[in-house]
Amino acid sequence: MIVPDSLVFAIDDDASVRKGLMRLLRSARYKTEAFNSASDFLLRPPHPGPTCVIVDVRMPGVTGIDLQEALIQRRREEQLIFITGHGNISMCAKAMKAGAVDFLPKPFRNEDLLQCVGRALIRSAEQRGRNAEKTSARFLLDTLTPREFEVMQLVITGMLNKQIAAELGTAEKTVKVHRGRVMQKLRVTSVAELVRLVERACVAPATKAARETKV
Amino acid sequence: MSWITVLWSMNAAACLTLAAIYLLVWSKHREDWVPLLFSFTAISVAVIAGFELATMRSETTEQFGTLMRWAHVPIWVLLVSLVWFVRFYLRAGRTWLAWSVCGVRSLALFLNFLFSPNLNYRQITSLQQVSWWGGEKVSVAIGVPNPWTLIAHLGLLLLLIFLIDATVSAWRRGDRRRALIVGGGAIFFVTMGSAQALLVIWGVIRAPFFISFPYLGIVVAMAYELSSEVLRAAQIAGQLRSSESALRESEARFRTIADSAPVLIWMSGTDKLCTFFNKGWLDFTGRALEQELGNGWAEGVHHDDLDRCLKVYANSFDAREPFTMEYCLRRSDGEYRWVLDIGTPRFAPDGAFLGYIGSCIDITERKLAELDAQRHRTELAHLSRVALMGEMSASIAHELNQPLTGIVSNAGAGQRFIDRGDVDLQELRALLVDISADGRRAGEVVRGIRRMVKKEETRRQSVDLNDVVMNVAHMIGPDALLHSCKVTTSLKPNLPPVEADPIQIQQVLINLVVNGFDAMRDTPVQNRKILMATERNGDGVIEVSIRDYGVGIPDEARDRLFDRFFTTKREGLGMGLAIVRSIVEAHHGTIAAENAAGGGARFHFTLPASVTH
Repeated sequence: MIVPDSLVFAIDDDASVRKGLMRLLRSARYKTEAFNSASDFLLRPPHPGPTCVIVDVRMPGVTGIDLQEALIQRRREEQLIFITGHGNISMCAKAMKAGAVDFLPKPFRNEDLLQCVGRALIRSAEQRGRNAEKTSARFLLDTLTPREFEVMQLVITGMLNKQIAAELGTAEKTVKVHRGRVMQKLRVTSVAELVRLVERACVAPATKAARETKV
Repeated sequence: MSWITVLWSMNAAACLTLAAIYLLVWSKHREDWVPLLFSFTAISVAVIAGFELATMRSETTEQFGTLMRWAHVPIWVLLVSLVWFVRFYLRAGRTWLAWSVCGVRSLALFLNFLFSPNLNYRQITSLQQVSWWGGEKVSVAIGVPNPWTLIAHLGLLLLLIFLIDATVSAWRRGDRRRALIVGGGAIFFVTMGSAQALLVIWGVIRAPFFISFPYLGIVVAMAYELSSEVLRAAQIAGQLRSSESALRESEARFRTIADSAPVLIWMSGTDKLCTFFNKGWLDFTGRALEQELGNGWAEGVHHDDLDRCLKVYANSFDAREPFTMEYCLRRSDGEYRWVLDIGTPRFAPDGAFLGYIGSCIDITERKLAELDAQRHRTELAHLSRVALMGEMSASIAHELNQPLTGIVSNAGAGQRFIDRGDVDLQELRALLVDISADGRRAGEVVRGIRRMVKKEETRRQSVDLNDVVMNVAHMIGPDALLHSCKVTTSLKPNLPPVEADPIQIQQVLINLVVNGFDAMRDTPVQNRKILMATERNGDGVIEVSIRDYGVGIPDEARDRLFDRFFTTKREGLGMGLAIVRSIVEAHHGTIAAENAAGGGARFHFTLPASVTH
């Protein structure tokens, strides 16, 4: 049940902790790599597969929290598990808000950590899948002309052709042609399918406000 | 009876009396020649007086001549003894002149017995009866003077020169009274006597010789001086007696004071043995003076203190230096009491070493109070360490949790390897090695905490302050991270060691660093720094400083910074810096604080380096 192609990183400035973590992960058959500082980890090229990073919150130099910020800035999708010898609630809250999988105080139960790692890798794989869908959906959406895009944005709000024509100030017939082309280009047969695709691409449906600013 | 007989006899009697007195003096004190010489002078004057009387009564020229010839013998004795009296008594006059006088007079005496009738006359032609005051008739010689008599006159001249010279040099030396009375008297009377004799011999005046009277004057002058000497001796003896009684009185006074003083007093001689103990001492120890004398006192000293006590005493004694020492002395009720003993060497006015005198006071109460205060200090320091542990909780948790995490993870991994059934024994072994290493590491941390929290007597040892600073910088690391603060050190290499309790010095440093963290709460994160530095400060002093970049010391707090119960923190007790100071001062050091240039505060304390390095 190991997520295929996955890799687990352990970053801690303390050798005892690093060695223990490595062995524990290896005993659960995870592929692992260890670093004694976050900055060393950042120098490594990102792993292409699902990735989990176990990192100590407080380290000299770049801290765990700093690493989290750096990864978000670089739009990387590694899932972070924080471990700490002396955590406090505000740190924990900050890390979780920023998308950490969990925040474990040392010494943690081995099962807790391994569960977290499993969860993180699944989340990482899902994220990866979602990203792939998003990429393909965006690819399709990019084939639309601006006018077709506008029509599409109104279609997914559930408007009728007549309403759309009124909104855009064109003939209902023209709207119908655009709509047909959108469905064809995006290879969907129903409005429901179209909505799902747009959702995967993370494109917001048009709102009045959005439109007005656009004009 | 004829008044001449009476007068001359009285003269002779006076001289003989004086001679007898000083012969007696000389017989008691034979190394001094002066009284003997005086006696000879006086006796010869008496004999001369006798000869003079006899010549005045002589009836034939032969008789007259013979008497005159023999009269030269006492004259010779007189002049020789006078010369040496002056020489010894005035301690002046040229020796060669003295010998010349003696030589010339001896020649004259020798010639005197060659010539007939004598040295003075070549021939006495007749005797003339001269009538004197009161109708007395005396015989006066008429004859031809002998030119060789000039030899005798030369002797007299030399004598005068000698006397003048001796008198002048005694006068110049400052011995004016003696010069005037003895020297001056001798010059005056010798001149008179010689002149009279000369005039008679050369027939200028017709009169009998009476040189015995001028010479009586000399004898009287000499006797007067000698007697004043005796008087002075008596005076000195009297003074000696009175100073002796004053000494006895001062000794008695000393004993009264010593015995009534509320301290224990002892004295020792030059041989280190004790010669005196006052009543206070004897009452204290409940022993007799005879038991304490010599080295007996040492029996009362507690055996734990005895060696040290004797060593201090002997070393100070040999160096003739004052000493101060504390030891336990058995009281009469058997209880050992702490005494403070202060000993001082005694010296005579001429600088000669006489021994020691010392006093002891019972300082048991003070000692107990000191011990009590020390116990309080230790307790307070302990409480403060416990409180510090609270402030260092993050560091402690971190230090413990790291190895525990290692242990738990490794153990879990081992379990899994076994469960999986593909145990790599090599891996398992390495894992177990790591577990035990981590276990030891955790134990070390716990021991360190125990040392800080344990209530124990302070234990001084030789400590390298650099080690303590490094240790604290490491210990405090996690808390520094928690406060987003950087702790750096700047250490002077090769510091001499200090005699200190490492735990307490650690406590001082942690306290100051934690204070620094608190002071930098409002400092921007990038500026939060603490610098711990060691420095050699002059001779044998080491300075440790802790500088932060916090709010600094407010003016109104500066003077009271190290006071108890003074705090600027809302949750502070105000004990931290007070304890820090008490620890530093208990180590004979000083602590101070000031605002540093560029913001923040700088605390610095000094400790004396160990003497034996």
